[in-house]
Amino acid sequence: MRTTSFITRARRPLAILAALALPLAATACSDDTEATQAESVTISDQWIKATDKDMTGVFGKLTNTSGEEVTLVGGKTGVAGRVEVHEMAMNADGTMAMRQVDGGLKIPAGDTADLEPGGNHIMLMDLKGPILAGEAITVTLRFGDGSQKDLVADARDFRGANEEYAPGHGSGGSNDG
Amino acid sequence: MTDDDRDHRERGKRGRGPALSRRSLIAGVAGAAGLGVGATAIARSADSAGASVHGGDVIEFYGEHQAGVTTPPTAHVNYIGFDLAADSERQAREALAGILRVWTEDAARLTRGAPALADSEPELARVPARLTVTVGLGPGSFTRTGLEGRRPRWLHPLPAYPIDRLDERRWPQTDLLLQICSDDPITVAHATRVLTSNVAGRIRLRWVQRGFRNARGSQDEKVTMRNLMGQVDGTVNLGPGDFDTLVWDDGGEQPWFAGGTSMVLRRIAMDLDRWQELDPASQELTVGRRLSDGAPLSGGGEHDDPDFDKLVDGLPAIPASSHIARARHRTPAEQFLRRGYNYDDPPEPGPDGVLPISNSGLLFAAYQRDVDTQFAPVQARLAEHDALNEWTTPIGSGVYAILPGARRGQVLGQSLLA
Repeated sequence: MRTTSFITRARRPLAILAALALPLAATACSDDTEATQAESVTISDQWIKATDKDMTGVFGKLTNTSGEEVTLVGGKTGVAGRVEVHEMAMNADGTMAMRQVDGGLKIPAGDTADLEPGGNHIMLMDLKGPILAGEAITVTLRFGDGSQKDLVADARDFRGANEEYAPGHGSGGSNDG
Repeated sequence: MTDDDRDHRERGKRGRGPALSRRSLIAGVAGAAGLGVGATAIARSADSAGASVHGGDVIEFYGEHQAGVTTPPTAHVNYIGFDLAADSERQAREALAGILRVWTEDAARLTRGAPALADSEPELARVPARLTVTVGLGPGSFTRTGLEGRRPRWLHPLPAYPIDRLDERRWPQTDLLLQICSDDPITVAHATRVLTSNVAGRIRLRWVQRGFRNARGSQDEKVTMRNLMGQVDGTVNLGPGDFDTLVWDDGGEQPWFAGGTSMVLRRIAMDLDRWQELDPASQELTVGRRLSDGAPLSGGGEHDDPDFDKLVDGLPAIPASSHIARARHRTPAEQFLRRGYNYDDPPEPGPDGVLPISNSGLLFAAYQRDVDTQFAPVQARLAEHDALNEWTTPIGSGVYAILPGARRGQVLGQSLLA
């Protein structure tokens, strides 16, 4: 048995990464070998809500390890007709609803985007069938420079994330790529 | 060695807390030898204040074996029995694979004090308090999934013993078992909730059996637990030197199972009302041990070997029908690791609506390489005759294959489903 004392994980490693990233990025630019946005992003804590409805959410953390802003603009998956990047916003009547993020989700240099129920998230629309707990779902994320990265998430049963969808906002989704 | 020296030595060994001694406290706080008692009390309280916060203690989840078997038993447990929710062999197999993926990830997180994924109460994950999550498979996980050829030979219901009064509806054998242990009952409740609700659509919950041992820190962990009949319970047990030969499977029969073990979970109700009718001397003769310290009635201390040949006034000091005489292993193979917990649940109303005084007993958990050769002979002997049977009744029984451990990056059951 190994007994250790648990220490709350701070975001220190990120700060270090961000500090290192600036000179590295500068060097990379001069060499013309700058990483793509997809290569700059690490994915962690990802999961997808199991459902028998026609849409569901993907959640997790996207960390931009580069010195430049990256933008998540959309994606594609075999299990759904469309992949959209959503945010929660207030309607005119004061209620909250989700809608597509105009111009995609921007992640500043060295920052982490938390995709979570009630906040920003990736939405799978027009699901082709139910998603059951424990199923591993692959979503190919697409970034502002056209680069792509696979996100693999295990489905979990979850009662939340039932936000009302307010279509008509944003630029209209598509299963692009 | 004086008390002061010992104080210094103990503190030095632990390498924590301020280097106070009774002498410095007496000199600095009380200032007079006559107030030494009070000063000692302060020193103790300062000491226990430093040592009594254990919530950050972590037991590693990943490894060759699952935690929760040979790791120290914590204060609280939930044993949770599930069946797979599936209509076909293919569905059952997919459900099993999916459940094990989710449980591995979430258990690894929770046991290190991090929230599970889809954890709607992440704040409750901050205090692992030696949380362990241990996953076992019942026979149904093999027969319902088309994996019958990989079922360990001993994974079947125990024989029907004459002492059994099993409530198959309330405490049935299940397809899956989660054993969740922690020193903090809030942590146990949270882990139970998250691990269950995250796969809710894939399972049918059959039962939760809640148990407890002594609170962490109320006595030295080396002290043997008492059951609710007041007996020192668990004196004869396996030690670390026995685990590789008697607990952990070597993969000889089912290569995928190397590093796993078996678990027998028996819910044993105690009739505390009728036990109370027995005078203490008779209670001791029933068990074969002294109530005060657990020493065998043949003499010595708790951990001295019982002398079953010793006579007192021409009669055996330890009756041949006593619990320890019947339970004693007859061959070296008849040994297993015991890691039981007490239960003391709210009494259930009888037919007249009136509640009995108590609903107590033991959640007897035994771990061994082979149920048939190690556990079953002893249980058969006890079922045939054991003076204690008069006051104890098995009402639930299950056998589980405790999966081999997962290394970092692996999933529990990976070798089974590969």
